[in-house]
Amino acid sequence: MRLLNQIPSRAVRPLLIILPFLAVLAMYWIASEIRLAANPQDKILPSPATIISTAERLMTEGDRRTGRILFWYDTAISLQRLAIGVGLASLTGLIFGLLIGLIPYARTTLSGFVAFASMVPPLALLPILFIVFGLGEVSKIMLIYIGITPFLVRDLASRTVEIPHEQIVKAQTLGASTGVIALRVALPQLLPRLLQAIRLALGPAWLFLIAAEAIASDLGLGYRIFLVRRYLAMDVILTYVLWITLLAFLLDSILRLLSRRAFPWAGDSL
Amino acid sequence: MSFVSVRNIFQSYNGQPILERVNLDVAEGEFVSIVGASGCGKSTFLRLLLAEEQPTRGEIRVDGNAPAVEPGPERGVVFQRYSVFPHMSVKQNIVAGESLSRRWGRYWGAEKRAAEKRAEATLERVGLAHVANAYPAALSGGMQQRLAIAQALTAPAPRAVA
Repeated sequence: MRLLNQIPSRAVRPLLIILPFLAVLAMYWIASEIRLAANPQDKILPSPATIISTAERLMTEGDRRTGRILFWYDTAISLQRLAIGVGLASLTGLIFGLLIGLIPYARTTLSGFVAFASMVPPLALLPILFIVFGLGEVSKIMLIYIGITPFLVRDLASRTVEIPHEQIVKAQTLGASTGVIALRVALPQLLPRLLQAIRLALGPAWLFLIAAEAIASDLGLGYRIFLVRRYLAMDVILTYVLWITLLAFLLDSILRLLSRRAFPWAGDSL
Repeated sequence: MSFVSVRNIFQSYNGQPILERVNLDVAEGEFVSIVGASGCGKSTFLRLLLAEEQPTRGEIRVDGNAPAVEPGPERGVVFQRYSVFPHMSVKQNIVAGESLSRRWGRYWGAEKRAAEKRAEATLERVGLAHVANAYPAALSGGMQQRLAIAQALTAPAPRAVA
């Protein structure tokens, strides 16, 4: 039987899925053991046991100065910045994507500009944002916004153009105005694509969030990682990195389930 | 006075002539079939009838009105593919046949219930009542086309259906 027709059985599938994770864990464990055997005070590759106990400590013990458990405060404020930035970007992407995709005048005027804007490197704009908006919440949220909005606009505009022209003509023969076509034909079909685009944009959004927090913040997941790097506290860093990965995975899963529930007609996406 | 009058239609793309001197009169209630070899201009002619494109010369009038510049309610169409709205259920598609011409494109309250009643009656007539709440993707190709035809015929004005 050809390799491309061989399908893993239901029993074998879970084993294959965790195999790469186990491999990475094994490699890390071995490397860590080697370093710790040579130098027990080594901080670069803490043993998995150390990481687990550090994680426990971070999640339950309060900060000595303020008594707050910083882990959860960091998480809360990072998620808040992410939510506001991604939320505003989604709204902009939806509105302008729809306009550019549907209305020729808007497409001619805006698509060149949006393409140009998407080429501006967002991280290079960060100092400008700090100067203009100060070092508070606004500049961090603006970085996320500027970073992912051009992608969302272009993606949603091309999805709007993909709506079969037959549907648009059909709506016109039923007497629909441009506004009604936008509202009742194009927009509902764009919403599941929006969720898909947000899922893809979350990766860069996390990146911009952590970069902004690393540079000018006093609270947040990115801030904490870059703070403790000075003490080479790899156990703390790895805990936070794994936690961020878990959060990102949960957000992605939630969006995927939401899309399937709210838009059953859209078909499954990746 | 014919319902659809096609006068002296010429159409060419990039200097390549596709249709020349096409004339046709269709009375109200009449059925017309267009047959021809592949590439002879049938789809082009349908697009001209629909006002999706403008002819190089000549004009098409429906119900005595001025030649249209864009598809409108005096023309109904059932396309080969993508002829129904995939994000609405079968019943909602029929209701949309009437509601899309409204200002906000939908009905509310009592009007909505009345429109849904009419939609249910239409679905009974075309034999789609048992899938009224399903989405078009769950229907067979033939059922989708039945839905598309029913939707095209639901719109209020007198019209030519292609």
